[in-house]
Amino acid sequence: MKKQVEIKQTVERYPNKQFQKLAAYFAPGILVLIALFQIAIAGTGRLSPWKGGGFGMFSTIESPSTRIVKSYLGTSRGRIPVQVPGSFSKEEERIRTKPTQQACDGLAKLLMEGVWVPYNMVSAQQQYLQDTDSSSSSLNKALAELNMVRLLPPDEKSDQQIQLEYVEVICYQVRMDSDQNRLFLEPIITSHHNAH
Amino acid sequence: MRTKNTTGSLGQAGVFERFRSGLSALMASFDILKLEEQAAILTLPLLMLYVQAKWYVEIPVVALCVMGLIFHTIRHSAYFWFALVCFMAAGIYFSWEVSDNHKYAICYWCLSIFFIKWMKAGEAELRTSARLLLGFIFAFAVGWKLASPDFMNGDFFQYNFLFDKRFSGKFELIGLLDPQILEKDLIAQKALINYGSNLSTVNILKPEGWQTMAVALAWWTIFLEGLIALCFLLPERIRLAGMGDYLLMIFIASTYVVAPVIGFGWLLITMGVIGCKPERRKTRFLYLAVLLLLLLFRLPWVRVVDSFSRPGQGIEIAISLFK
Repeated sequence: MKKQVEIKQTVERYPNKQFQKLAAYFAPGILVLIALFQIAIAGTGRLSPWKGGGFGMFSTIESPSTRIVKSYLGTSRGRIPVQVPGSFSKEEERIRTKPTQQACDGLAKLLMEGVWVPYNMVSAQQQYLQDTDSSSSSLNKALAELNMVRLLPPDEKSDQQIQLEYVEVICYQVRMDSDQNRLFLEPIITSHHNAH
Repeated sequence: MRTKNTTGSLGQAGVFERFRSGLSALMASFDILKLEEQAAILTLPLLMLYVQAKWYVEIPVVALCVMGLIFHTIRHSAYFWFALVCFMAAGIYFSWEVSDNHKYAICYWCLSIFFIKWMKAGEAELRTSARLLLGFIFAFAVGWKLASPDFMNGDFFQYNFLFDKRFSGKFELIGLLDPQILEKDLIAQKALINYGSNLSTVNILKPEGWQTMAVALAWWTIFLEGLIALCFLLPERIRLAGMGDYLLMIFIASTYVVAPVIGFGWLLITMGVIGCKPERRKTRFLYLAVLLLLLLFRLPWVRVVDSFSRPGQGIEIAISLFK
């Protein structure tokens, strides 16, 4: 009796076998829809073909790993190139995967809002004794000549904050010219953010 | 009267026969299972090993997979597969732009199993779904390659042969790439991409015949993948469709020895096994053999081979493999 009820419910739910056969096509259909969507986004929004469900991996050099984000701080000392700090690695990854003006502007704003200080090398002993020896002084001088700066973590204090005039973020695509045997950088997106 | 050699040959034949019958019994124990059960057994370990490394995906998916492997009533439930799809889809949704394509593919496969179970469709529908997924994956892959100028002119392969360690290490080992050329090119690449560099272009060196090899490989890839797509999208009653399985195995074995993306290879094999007709036992067995081969590709065989080429340092290198 129970089995008859189940069969009846199944028949009512799936009136005919043709409908059950459609079960084979739903997932492939969704694959096709999402892949077409990814193609559209890649064509208009420069999404890397390697991502987004379009199955374009290993089809082009344009993978996130061949896109480079370079950032520069405009200061009174001049234009200082800086490595994107690890705390913004997610934003950087998003730019490399899908470089948009909005994403680049967002990273530039985050870099502008950070506190940047000169890169000093002070040993733990010196910090404890609040003493500077000659070797450390010369090392700090060398670093100052290199114009190296770092983003101050939130839990650190410093009175050596560098005033920023602007921040520039540029995403490049590495390209290969096999005829001339060279690699070159092609700029994709540039963001220039001035201090208020 | 039997001679010693004949006895030896008979002995060897006996060992071979025993081995063959053992393999046959092994395969029979797998073939006797329902297709949905086979799909579950092949898919759940794959999910456990290659799920997205996000806590809200990894923890529930692995937990569900463990429960599914232990309790067959759980893995037979359509809602079990629906739950897996939901967690994996959440992981993709929150990072859709950066998610790898094989994460999407695994999700579609689990979705396929869910629909088959939920709508109480049969094994034929599961096979059709597996074949269509394979066909469309390769169709889109070929489409992208045909549409990419840097693939068609060989730039993609040339770039990766030099700068992707998965390729350059192996090419160096078999003597196709001079280590000095590789070193100079890596220095050039680093000089270009370094954050503090003002360079916008660098010159690189390439071995002789590199471009020809890259273009030939590009066309071979398009030919192979295009044929695979066609075979899996054609109805099974067409004879050409049967070739798809062997072409897929060739693709997996030749591609993943160089670039071992094991999760994707495992998924392709799973769909290949499920997409096979039940009477094609040898083909299904070959698929599973390729799966084992794929897993063995992860061994550091480049370093092993390298250790043989340096007899004096072989022992040191061998020991370093285990550290």
